[in-house]
Amino acid sequence: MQRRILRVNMTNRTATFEEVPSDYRTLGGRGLTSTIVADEVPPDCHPLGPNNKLVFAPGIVTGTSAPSSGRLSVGGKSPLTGGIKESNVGSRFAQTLARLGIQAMIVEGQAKDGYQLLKIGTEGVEFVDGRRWSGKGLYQAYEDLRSEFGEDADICGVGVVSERSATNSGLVFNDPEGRSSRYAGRGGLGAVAASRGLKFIVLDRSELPHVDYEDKETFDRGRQKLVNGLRQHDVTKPDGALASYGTNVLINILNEAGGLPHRNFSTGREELAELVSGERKAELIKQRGGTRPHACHPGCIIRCSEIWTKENGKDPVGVLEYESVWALGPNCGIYDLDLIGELNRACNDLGLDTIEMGNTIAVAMEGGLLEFGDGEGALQLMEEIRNGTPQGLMLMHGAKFAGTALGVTRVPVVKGQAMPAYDPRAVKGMGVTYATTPMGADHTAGYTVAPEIMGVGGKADPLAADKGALSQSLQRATAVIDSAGYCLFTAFAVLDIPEALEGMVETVNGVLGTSLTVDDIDGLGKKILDVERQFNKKAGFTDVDDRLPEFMRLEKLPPHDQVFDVADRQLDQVFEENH
Amino acid sequence: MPGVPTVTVRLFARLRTPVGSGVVSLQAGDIRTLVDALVKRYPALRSELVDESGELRGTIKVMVNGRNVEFLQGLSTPVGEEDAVAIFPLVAGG
Ligand code: SF4
Repeated sequence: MQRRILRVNMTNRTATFEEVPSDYRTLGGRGLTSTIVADEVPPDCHPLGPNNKLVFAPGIVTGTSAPSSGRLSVGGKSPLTGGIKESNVGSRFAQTLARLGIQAMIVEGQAKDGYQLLKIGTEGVEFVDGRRWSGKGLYQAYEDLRSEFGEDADICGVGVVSERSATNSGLVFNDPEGRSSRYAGRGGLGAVAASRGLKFIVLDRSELPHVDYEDKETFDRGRQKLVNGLRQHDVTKPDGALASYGTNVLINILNEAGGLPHRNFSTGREELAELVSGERKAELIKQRGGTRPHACHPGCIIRCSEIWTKENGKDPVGVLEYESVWALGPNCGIYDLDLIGELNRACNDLGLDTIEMGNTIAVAMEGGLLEFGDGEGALQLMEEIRNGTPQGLMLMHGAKFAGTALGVTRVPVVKGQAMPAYDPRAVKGMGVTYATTPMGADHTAGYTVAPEIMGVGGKADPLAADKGALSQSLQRATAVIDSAGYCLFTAFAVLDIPEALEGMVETVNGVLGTSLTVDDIDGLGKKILDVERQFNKKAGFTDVDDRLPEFMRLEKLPPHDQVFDVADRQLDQVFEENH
Repeated sequence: MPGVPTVTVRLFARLRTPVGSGVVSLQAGDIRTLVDALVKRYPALRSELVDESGELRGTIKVMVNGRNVEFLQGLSTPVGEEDAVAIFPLVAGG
């Protein structure tokens, strides 16, 4: 099926299919969303005003049989950071969008008369009055939508906090069982959707076509090499680290390495961490009859996901990712997986990003709103958010906003976005990535943890400060993987197995008819980052925005008693030149 | 063995299965002797920890007080009763 761009104008309620401009032809995923945002969104616009746009793009190979490639990039100007944003998610929604021939969907304008639901299928696009789902929790709303539009529908939506313009608001997508649990969570793009008047997108999967290949033979050859690599690597193989324990297996190793932030980044190690570890969680899931491993979309062969339930094996939440367990757990001094599961459930139901929310609660704890470790109190705060009380309204805008409101100076954000689960004083490459990625503090942007902690894709001492080059090359490679449509976890295998990386490039060539090689990856990644960086510059960002919060340079982090000591010059060089 | 310290070792993820628990005490003065003692006591751990030539697998992370021994003195890194030793198989996430 020929690929097209779908442009949805919410002001006029029109949906038009456009030919793909020639300079977009070989782009997909993040490369495409960032390029469209840079081309069409004025960098100085208000993120929730009429000129921002929300752009969805499946990856280049998404919708094909390439393994672990059901990924979608969502882009726009972020209300949280004020800069460009791409948020990435794994869901069958991405595969369906690609099979509908939609290379990108641009949502622009602002509906005048309340929320709309977009129904998209082979028949075209239909605008449905979405007001009746307004204010509802997302778990219930997804059930209702499935009974109305069919159990097999793929759904994207935004929750009640997006309706209230929260800068911490994500876009949620369905997991394979239809639950509202897979998030393009970071950066407040949920509020960008809601401010367009977009509440839900439902994809009708009936008579779904298949994607076209320019060179199927090359694609198949590449696919096989990649599958072999993923099946062979200790991290990604069927009974490997990710399938056995999920991402949460990182709790113990980061804690041991002194890099797991506890109590709002006060210490990097705490004995209680074992209580919320991946090992413990896998045991509990087994006892309760939950599911592990599990995939976020059909066609993933790594299967890092799971289904966490209550103690009685009922009321599934979905996956409890490492980042979420950490943010809502140790970072708040909470070491109880059931409490963390309920906090995660509340985030999923309201439409909040778990990393931002966990950091916000931790900052609120630091500010004296409640004690560290008060899980019940944290759940109460989630109810304040649900009910839209003044305190709830303060907490739905993320860690920076809460810090300002409560007079807290130790606020772990970069460009206004809260940090993920690696303290940059103990894993210094992550500090370089947090500081310099155009996205605001984002671990996925250049995951130096792989060589620094896991010894994957090379080896680097986590306490050594010389990490500019490492972060730069990983940021570039990541931008390409996010554009191809592969899950970032494929990187663990392709960084170590050259044939698998070659195979990945061949799958892209097979779809596009290009003749890219592995050597092109760095340059392609640089191009995407330059586009994003330029947008941010025009939006008013300077070198000062590429810095970590001051307290991380001043306060020593136990147990290694380190500060973040990467020189500013080195941070600036990440984007200035090739290291 | 008089004079050789008793060291507490914590094991993680799949390394716990052959041992049946996460904590083991062994007599060893450095990481090399510690790994030898470990595979001697738990033969099922051998294939997890060392390769055919008896060398520690590249995927295994040994930490002493939170520092990967590769960035200390490797297998010769000394250990004593006060040291926290942790051994991890290859794990990943994000
Ligand atoms: S490895 Fe995990 S996150 Fe990645 S595609 Fe598979 S299930 Fe989704």
